[in-house]
Amino acid sequence: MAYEPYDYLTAANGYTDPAVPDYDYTLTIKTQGEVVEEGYKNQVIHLADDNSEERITLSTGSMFWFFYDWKILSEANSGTIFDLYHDSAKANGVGNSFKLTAHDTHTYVVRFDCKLRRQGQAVSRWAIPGVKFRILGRIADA
Amino acid sequence: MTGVSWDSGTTWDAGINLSSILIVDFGPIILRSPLSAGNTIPPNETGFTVSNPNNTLVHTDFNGGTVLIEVYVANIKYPDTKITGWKFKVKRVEPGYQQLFFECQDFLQEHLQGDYPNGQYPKGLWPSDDTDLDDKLCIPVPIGTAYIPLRSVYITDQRYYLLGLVTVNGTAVTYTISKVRSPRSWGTKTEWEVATYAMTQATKAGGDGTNYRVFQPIIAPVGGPYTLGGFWRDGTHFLDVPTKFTRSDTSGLTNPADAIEFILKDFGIASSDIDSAVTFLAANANYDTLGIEWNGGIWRKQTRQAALTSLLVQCHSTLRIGEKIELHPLSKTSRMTITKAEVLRPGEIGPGSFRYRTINERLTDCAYVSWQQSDEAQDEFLKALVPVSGSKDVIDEEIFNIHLVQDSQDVQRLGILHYQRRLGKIANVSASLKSKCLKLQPDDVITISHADYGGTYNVTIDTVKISKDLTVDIDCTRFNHVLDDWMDIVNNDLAWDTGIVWDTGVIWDASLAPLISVAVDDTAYVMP
Repeated sequence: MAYEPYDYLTAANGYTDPAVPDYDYTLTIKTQGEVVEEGYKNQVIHLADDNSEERITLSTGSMFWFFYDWKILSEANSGTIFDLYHDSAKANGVGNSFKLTAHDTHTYVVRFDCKLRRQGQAVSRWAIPGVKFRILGRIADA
Repeated sequence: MTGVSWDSGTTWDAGINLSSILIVDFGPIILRSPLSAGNTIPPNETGFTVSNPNNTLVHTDFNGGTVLIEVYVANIKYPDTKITGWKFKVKRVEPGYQQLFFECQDFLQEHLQGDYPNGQYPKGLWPSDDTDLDDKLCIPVPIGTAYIPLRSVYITDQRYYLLGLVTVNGTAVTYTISKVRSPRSWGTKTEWEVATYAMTQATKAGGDGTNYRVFQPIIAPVGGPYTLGGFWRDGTHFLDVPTKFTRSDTSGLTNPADAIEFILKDFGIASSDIDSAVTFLAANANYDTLGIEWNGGIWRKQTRQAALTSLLVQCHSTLRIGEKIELHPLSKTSRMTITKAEVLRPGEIGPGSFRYRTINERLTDCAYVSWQQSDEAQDEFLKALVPVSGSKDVIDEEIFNIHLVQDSQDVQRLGILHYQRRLGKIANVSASLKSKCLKLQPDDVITISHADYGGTYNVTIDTVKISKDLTVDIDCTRFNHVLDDWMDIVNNDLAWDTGIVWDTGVIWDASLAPLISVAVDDTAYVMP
């Protein structure tokens, strides 16, 4: 039974499978706390004056996002994420895709889809909350 | 470029090879009635935005390109099926912030620029110092049998009347002359027929190096023996002479579908872009059934748009510009009834998208058509007042010239049908509709039906706007009268008193003989 984003990132759903990242690097820092997965399809509902409706599906494939909250990270790990985001040769903000070993143990090709905030009172311990990844494809399980 | 799809499956012509292209924004496709703007044909339009990372694509490479847009739909029961498509020309491409913004219009538009008929004025080919009364008279395009004025030109040492090109669109053509007539401004009407008088043709090279066919009606001197060409002079002008003739490649184009197809090709439109095999063929059969027949010509320079709209009105038809140019006779039959089940509303609560806007204008109920009887020169016209729907109380200022039809009943029918869609407008109606209304086209008649929409009544569609999510927005016109079809209109033949002609009311007698002749030069005589 298909119940993970991994199962819907297939060629049949309009994805390149396996996906190829722009920057060949895998972010493996484990998630912390609550993880949110969000998905939707590109569809429009037309509502008529008699309350009937018409459903237009513009794309059958689904789109997915992951929301991660890293509540406490070592200086090294927070620096890894910080550098990944800001280095133009790496993720380059939202510009380049890379690989992510996700909370469900699958590896996906993702990109950042947010600004990057880092917060903390001491440099050695950082939180990086509200990180949003757009899921662009999957890497086949080993 | 072909095969642009905002979903998937991109195909491109050779020349610009792209592995992929991303359309990030797609404007609506706007379809407009060719008959909605008087003598101009408004364009169909669309636009879209293409992602251009790193400015790889150069915007100037796309100018003048062709875009094919196709609509495929599917549902849970039916696979992807193409339901319609349009061919557009790229009008302009503008770069900005690693995107290209495309504006497109239908592929007919570029061929509607300029005048028609093609080619120079006669005096441009053989310049002379005599002036002309009608500066717009040009080398004509005859349709069927024309009886139209021809201009004389002075070539080397003689004067001739100019028929036209020897080769038209790569095909050698011949001209067959039936008769010539004395110019109307001369007063008396005299005709010289080929059975009795020679119409001597010749081929002459024009100033553009192209060969033209000319002729002299050998009708001078008065009283005979007839050895010289006949010309009329009015002060410093040589008068144009109405000539009844045919051209071999257009003599058979008496069916409006054939004539319109010929003229579209003369505009430069490729045969492959004309829907000859389906809609033109069906329209041809329709005109034959109704007995609409054209004889005449286009002999005054006018805009191509005005020329084409005139042709469409003279067969009560419209064009649809899809992947090809289609010809469709107009019909009063409603294609669809629009109820609350079709009209969309933008929000979950509140009124929907239907709008009714009353037009507060003076309602005219009749107007004139101008036409000419069979076997009469088609340079000046008679007028008839036709009603939109019975009454003739308030006359509109428009006079529509039906120069290709000589049957007085057909002239009245065409005039009534034309003015029924021009006069008596009482409201504009608009709405956003579900995708099942995709079949609706400009110039279609639909029925609006619900008390919330003002009742039940018919409207004609002026504009259809199709959005990416298949919303269909329509703008329509409601009239103060019911529309008719050709067979609904029964008229009597227009009766004319004998001996009264044209607008001047001058009584003429065909038995009057020319009174005097005056020698002008060594080669021709002026006829009285």
